Amino acid sequence: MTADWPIYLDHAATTPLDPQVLEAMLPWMQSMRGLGNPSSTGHCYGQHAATAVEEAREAVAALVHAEPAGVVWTSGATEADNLAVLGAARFAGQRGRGRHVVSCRTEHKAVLEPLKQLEREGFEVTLLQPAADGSLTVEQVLQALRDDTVLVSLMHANNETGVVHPIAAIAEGLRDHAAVLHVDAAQSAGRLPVDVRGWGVDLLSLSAHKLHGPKGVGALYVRSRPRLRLEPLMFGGGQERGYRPGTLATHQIVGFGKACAVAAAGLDADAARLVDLRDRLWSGLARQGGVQRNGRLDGAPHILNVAFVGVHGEALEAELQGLAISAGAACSSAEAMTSHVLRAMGVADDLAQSSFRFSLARTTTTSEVDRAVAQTADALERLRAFSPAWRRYCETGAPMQGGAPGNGFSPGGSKG
Amino acid sequence: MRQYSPQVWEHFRHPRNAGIPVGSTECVGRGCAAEAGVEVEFVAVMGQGDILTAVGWECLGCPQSIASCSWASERARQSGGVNLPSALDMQRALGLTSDALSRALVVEDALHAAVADARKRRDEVT
Ligand SMILES: Cc1ncc(COP(=O)(O)O)c(C=O)c1O
Repeated sequence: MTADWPIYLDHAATTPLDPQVLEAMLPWMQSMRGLGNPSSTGHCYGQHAATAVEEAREAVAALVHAEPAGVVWTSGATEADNLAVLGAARFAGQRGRGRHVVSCRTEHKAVLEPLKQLEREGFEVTLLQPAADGSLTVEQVLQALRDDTVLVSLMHANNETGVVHPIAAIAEGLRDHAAVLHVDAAQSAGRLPVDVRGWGVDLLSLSAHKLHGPKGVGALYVRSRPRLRLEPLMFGGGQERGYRPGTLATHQIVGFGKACAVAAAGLDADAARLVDLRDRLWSGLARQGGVQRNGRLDGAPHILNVAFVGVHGEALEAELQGLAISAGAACSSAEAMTSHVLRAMGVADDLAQSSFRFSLARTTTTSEVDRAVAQTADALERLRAFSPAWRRYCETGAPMQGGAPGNGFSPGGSKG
Repeated sequence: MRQYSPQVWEHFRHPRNAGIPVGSTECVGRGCAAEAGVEVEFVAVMGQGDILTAVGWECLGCPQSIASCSWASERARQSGGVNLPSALDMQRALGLTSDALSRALVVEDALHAAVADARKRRDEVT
């Protein structure tokens, strides 16, 4: 990047386009070669495009071990989540199968907001309460089930903390229940193994730009055998089995397919490297003392969420101009902006307010991680030098209120 | 990322009189705006002739709060504690945003309380 731009450690928000992906996309933006409408298979323009779309469908399906026929193109994971949650619940509700849905308080807004819409439509939503480390047990999920539960929607890896829900076991537990299982895998696909068929997932949301693909394209996997039916959100030309009408964006889809192929080829090596980098980052930050890890040690390999004791989040953010990271609550009003995820985990407001998400990708280097640690260390040292809260913390050696035990709390310079 | 005025940046990056002077912790004024996560402590030392001889502060707060502490401490020291700056003075001088006024009030409270405390203690001694 431009030399004076900050170090980009915000890959949970979006990732850089892989050069191989760009190369795959370019022909599909050229006037004649990329012209065809994939649905117009009566001539070679359309056939050419349709072939490319189907190859991409296979690549996306392969990454998550799903059948290609189940892949429905969308504009991203937000649309996929909406289609899954609203589509599955409405379809079941309209047929008198029930109006109860189970999800979790730490889900992405792209799931929580459609759930609110379902409530307005008369559905009942049970939002499970995670433990202080953000985790959820299979028993919790199964206990929330009722005879009229029609949908369970739980994310695979959390976008703020990286906490991973035990999807395989949850799917297993749901096997004898009629409820449909939707999984938002926007953060985990390409970073953790996802096995749609092995696990028995019915619906799965994906987003291309989270795995070095283009923005504006994603997919909803909809189980094709036995066929799962959804109420569509849009009506039109009947593309994508009627679930998602509209002319397909060939260049975007081809890019998404290529991104999945690249991710699948490097999955194990990339994940191992990410774990190393993330652990290096964590131990460097933990060495500063007064840091708390929000989440679990065994989370998704690319996300580290850390609370810094004794500093104000907004001041730390202003000090960390050299890092493109994500603030837990980049606002002076703790009330208004505290992350709903950290709040659900019971992280105290003061700590939630000074929490930051560092997120890495396969393009991240060791040097970037080391520079991020050094910059954070300098900022903490400067701000803590005149912080009454830090002085008190050092005098008592006690965690600030709300420090959840057992999730990496590191008082006074111990290594994490 | 929020935008701050050049004056706020200047004081935030180079705070004046930061820290509590050693051995003067008894003359403390405190202010707190819990909902904004802001906490301020001022320490003042009064010498002969009602002159402020030393001032220091600690602040857990946003850049505008830290800049307010820095600027207010400098003003108080320069005036010898005669004309203590108010939150509105801080807002004008530093170009604080309107939502930062409540935090400047915390700084004002702490500074004024510290000076009042120091005066009281000096009067008790003399
Ligand atoms: C878990 C999760 N779900 C959904 C989304 C939304 O994805 P998109 O940007 O593709 O709509 C994101 C990204 O912000 C995410 O992290």
